[in-house]
Amino acid sequence: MIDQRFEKATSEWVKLSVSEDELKTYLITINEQDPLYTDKAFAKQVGYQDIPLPPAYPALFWQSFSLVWLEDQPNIILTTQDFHYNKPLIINQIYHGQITLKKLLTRKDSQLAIHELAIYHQSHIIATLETTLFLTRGESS
Amino acid sequence: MNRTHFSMQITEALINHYAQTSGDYNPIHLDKQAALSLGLPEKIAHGMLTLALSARLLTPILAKGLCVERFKIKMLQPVYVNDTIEVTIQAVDETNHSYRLIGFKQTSLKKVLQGKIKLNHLS
Repeated sequence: MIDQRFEKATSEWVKLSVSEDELKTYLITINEQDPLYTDKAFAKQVGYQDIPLPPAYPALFWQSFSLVWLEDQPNIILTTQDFHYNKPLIINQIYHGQITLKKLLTRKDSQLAIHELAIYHQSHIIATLETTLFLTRGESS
Repeated sequence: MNRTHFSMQITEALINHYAQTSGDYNPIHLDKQAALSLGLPEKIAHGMLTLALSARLLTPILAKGLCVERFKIKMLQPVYVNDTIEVTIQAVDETNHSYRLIGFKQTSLKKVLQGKIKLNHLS
């Protein structure tokens, strides 16, 4: 369970970028074979600036962050994921992101922790991911 | 739309593979004892794995020159190892590029996810 004092806490800013090989590993895992994600010429022909990241890929960016309020929290379940895109994210582009613990709703033996990951390219916000996590006390927490 | 539906068993190998790809080694996905300690009957799949698999249904539409503006998914039930899920995408308003996703467990017909998607033309 997260201490209420962490509500509104923010992470460090983190550099985020996805190489072609990292994307390939993801595509193999989810068995996605469309040329949109492997063929730069095809992606450009469709109208993308480069090979786009699949819509759910940015959730993997979470692993680049060290969130002190989630340390030693083994019982975490994703309940809602809400992606907002101003522009598609593309491979090999350097982005910067920060996670904020926007809201913490605490009940007796559980919590809902609403986070926002904001992704910027230079000074422009490109996408936000609102992630709601369900945490329970469980035996190990 | 070329692909509007898929049915897939969420195997232990797939969950382990996703853990390696994502770096998410939360024990409730990988350790049955951790799942049991929460009152769950089995290890559960990463919510983001179920979401990533479901998002594949968007690919044929995106490959026609559209991009995602909003993609919201609620996970309604845990997906356990070896569950088979069926996920469908339906157009709500094709001229406005609005869609919805619905996912069920094949055996129990319990709804596991629902989502709303809004697409836009690439500018």
